[in-house]
Amino acid sequence: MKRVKCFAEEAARLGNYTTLDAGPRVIELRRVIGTVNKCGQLDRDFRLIRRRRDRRERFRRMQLDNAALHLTSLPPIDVYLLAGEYYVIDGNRRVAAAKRQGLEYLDAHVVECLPLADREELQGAVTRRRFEQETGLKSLALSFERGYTTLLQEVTEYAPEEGEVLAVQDRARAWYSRAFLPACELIRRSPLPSAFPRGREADLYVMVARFYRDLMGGPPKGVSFESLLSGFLFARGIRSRRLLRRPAMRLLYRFLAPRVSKAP
Amino acid sequence: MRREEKAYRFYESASKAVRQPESAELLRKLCAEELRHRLKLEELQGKGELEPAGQEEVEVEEAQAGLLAEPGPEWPPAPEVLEPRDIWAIALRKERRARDYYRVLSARAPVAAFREVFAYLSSEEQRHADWVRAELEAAGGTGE
Repeated sequence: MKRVKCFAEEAARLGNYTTLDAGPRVIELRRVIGTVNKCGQLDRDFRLIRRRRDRRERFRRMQLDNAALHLTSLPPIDVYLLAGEYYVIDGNRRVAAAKRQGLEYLDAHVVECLPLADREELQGAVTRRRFEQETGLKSLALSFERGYTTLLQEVTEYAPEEGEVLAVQDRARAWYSRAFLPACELIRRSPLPSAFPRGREADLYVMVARFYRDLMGGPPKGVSFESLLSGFLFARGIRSRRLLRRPAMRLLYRFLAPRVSKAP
Repeated sequence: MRREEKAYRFYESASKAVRQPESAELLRKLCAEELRHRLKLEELQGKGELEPAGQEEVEVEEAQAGLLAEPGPEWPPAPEVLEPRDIWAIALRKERRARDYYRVLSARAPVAAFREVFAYLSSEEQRHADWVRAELEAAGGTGE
């Protein structure tokens, strides 16, 4: 019978590590694949292997099932996050109940385990944590975590509507919905994802933003992301589609085409 | 926009070719400026709607019309084979030509907003020409 992974064994492979409190999050249930203190006792669905006939255990399981059926939210579980996978510290039964109910997501309090040898990952995680704490945005995932520094700069410099004064976290939310999400939509429709298939949309957004920061200290004021993206595609030699803009361009040329008048 | 793109490519490859860090820095700065112009023009293009009302027919000299119609001299495809002084000389010609080009456009543009943008771009190109001339003179060339 296949069992869940054991945190101690996986952590030993990692070598020395440090932990970082990532706070409350909504996590994907399919990524919960191990346990911390029930090693060898749980099967892959987090059910106890040797105590199936235990009446107390069955009673607890029924209670949890009923709680889930009545849409009572399960209290958050506690997990370690190690190499992209979650290991349950407290809440093995809740995970088992959630799996039985076919849930996809769970509330959890997450503590990240970061290998001390991998300084880049460590730096990336610290940067992400800082971004999350300052902006309150926790659902923004990057494959390359060092990009959170760029994102934090973007949020800090984001100017909402004229005269609109917002607190940092409100500004972050405004940036996310008014600037970041529309930009991701443009990126999705551009040739950028096929040019960089390993990057998420947020990574590609960071790539564009960082390009302008490196070249000219930040994107010029008053320029739409559509133009910035087009400029980036040009600079990187990636062919962009300008289907929507062609008619306007033709119209402009019609007016500006040389009309020569020779002196009599 | 195509002119700005060409200029960007020219400065991009030239910045990789020169050895002096100060020259490379200036070429990079020019690179950024040309891209900034491209963005400005793209924004202008994005606005799209031209208002025919109140347009003035501007008559231009044949030489000016030629400037508009011609794509301009082809920049050497590989500036890395050139001496830095040659790069600055070509860049100066390019900047002056761009300045004149925008000057003509600003006189011909049918919409006031476009005229302002083209006049602004013309003054920007003049500024670039001044930078480049100073660099050319420092490299032992003449800016005439």
